[in-house]
Amino acid sequence: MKDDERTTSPSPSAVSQGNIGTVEEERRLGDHRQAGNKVRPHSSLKGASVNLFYIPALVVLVVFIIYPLISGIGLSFTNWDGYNEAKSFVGLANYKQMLTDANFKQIVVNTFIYGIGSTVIQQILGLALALLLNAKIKGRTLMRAIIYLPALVAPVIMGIMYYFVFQYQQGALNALLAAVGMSKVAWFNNAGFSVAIIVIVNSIQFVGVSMIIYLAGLQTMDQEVVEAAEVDGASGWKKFWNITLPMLAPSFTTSVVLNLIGGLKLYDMVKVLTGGGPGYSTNSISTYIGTVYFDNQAAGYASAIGVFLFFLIAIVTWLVNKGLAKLDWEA
Amino acid sequence: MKRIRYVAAALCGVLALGSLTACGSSSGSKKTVEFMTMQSIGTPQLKALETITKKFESKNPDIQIKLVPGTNTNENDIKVRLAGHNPPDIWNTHGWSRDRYANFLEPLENRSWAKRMKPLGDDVFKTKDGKFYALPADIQVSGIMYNETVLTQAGIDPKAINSWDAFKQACEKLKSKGITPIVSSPKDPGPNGDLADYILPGVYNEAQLSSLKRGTFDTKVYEAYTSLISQWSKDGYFNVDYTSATLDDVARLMASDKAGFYFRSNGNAQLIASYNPNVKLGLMPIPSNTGDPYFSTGEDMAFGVSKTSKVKDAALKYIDFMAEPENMQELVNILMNDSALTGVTSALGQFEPSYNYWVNERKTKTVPFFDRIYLPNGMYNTLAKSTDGLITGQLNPQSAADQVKTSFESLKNQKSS
Repeated sequence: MKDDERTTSPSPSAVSQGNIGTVEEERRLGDHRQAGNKVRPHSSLKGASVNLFYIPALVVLVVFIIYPLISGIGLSFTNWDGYNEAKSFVGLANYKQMLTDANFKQIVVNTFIYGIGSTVIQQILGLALALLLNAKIKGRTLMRAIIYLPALVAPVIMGIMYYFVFQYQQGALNALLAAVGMSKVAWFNNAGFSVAIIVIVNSIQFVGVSMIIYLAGLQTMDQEVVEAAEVDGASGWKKFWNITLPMLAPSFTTSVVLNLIGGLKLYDMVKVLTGGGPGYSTNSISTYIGTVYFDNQAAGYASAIGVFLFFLIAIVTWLVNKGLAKLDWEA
Repeated sequence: MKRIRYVAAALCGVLALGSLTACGSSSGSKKTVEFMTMQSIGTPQLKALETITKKFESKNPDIQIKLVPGTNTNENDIKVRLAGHNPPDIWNTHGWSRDRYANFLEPLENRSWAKRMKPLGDDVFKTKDGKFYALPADIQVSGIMYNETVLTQAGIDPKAINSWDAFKQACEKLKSKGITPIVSSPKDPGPNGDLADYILPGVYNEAQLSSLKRGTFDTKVYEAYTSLISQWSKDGYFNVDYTSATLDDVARLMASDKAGFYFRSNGNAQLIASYNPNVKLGLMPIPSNTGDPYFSTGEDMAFGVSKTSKVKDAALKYIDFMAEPENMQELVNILMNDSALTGVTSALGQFEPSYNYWVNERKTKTVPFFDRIYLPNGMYNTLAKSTDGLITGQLNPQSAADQVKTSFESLKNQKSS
């Protein structure tokens, strides 16, 4: 038997014991046999034993995801205040309250603005930067690192840094305005401005992630197709629109889904930049959950909003994935 | 292989024992008492607690007090600890020992120092049967804090401000001089929460207060408050940097003689004075629509002991030590309020002259903190948020009142179910 044949087919002993090992395992077994060693089959990796390796991951999943999810759903049917022992079953009252909560509509709208706004900005800028820095230009590695760097910073730190840019007194932007003879602006006084600032700062922080995803897509692109298009006379915009963009569809899907989920559950940036204010006007659903839970001592209602956010993100992500999968197929 | 298993098992055992030891509050013969101070690092309040603690530990070498500094999420932190059945041994109850934390605290009415308690603040501190759950260091006597220098410059006599109309005229005078009439900040619920808490007692008459206490929230009555704030906002009385102003920014405005009035407790003068030790501050009563001007009073800094603490005896010993007059004096000196225990001299600092004038000479009446008597526990942040909405123009007087009503009814239902 040739060496390469032996390594690609499972050993008879392994098959007879119901243990189909990997190519690498078989190679090692083969080497041992060749050396005349007494080989001890990996009895500990047989059948159910292999499944033991799943246990740590399953425990983490159950303790940190499944249990809190079920517990949260359970709490959403109670009037728990968040710290006392006492709580009573209130049925769907918390879900009904969402419909009558004067702040809730605005908060859902804000959440979509954060999710969709950040996603759109990050796709446009991320793709543009990826195309620019995929070209052979001097210092591109350094530029890629600088653009990606904010993604490594905690959103709270990023928020505080930009708070110092936009704050009224001692704010960098107002200092610039003052330097050119203009009067200071209270940037956070206006809810619209504040929401826009949050979207922009969040996009700046994570545009590097989109850039890296698109760069990876560009670098793994089949160059034969690109060259064939060039031979056929495609160039510039035509080549980008008809060849590059469709071939980036998988990268687009990944980037959109990641950015959308991140934007829809935005918390830190809102908390640090505006604290959800003025009033409740810049809250996202995530920050509102915190406000309702701790400030209003309505943990049951906060849990109901949490359940709503869970299903909202799940449905939106499913719809987007479904839509973009079609795009992938068409590409 | 077997040997490896034994080594691994032994290692796990050692690690488990180590973590279990960390969970406990006593190591060997020394007991460790965790004290959640809710005071930020570097503040005079925490420094005073550190001084008292050092004295206690030198007299009680078998007890170690672990002082935990505060964060800006103190209230959330303690709620999470309580929900997790893991309360600290002692914590600062920040005005809520009876209404929020009574279920978790050891009653203290039988301690030796209990008979030294002054009656001021009983309404918000003790239960009907005389039980209480914390050692109060001071009793807040709060009114409107003012910068005396700027009021003098603008020709305003704070003693003549006995109505909201007179207050408005004073604000107009300040504004015409380029001075910010009123300062506040949304970065902490305190300034806006206090604004509501101080003004609301003068909005309601006795019959309306009784009705509110019975659980009926009349938005029309509440709108007297929301309309006042909304009008002040429209008139441009609040600091122009309001939405981005931190507590430090506000303190700086007061310290630099650029602002007139601040609706906060006297203890906040410490932060203002840290920016300008020569700042001249005073205290005036709050005008009322339904009677005479008044001061708002209640529990301020107070310390409770967890009833489930494993080192309860040590914690109670520390509390008793704090109650000794010389130790309590250390704290009262920096809180700038009335002392809660006899044998301790009130140290109102630069508020002393105005306090003496209003409280001792003019016998100005005091009323208990509004939210702790008439509103369900948990309303303070709603008061603060709705006031923020009014100042920024996000809410009109009616929608702000509706928001407060919703929260009021929701929390009332929570308590009654």
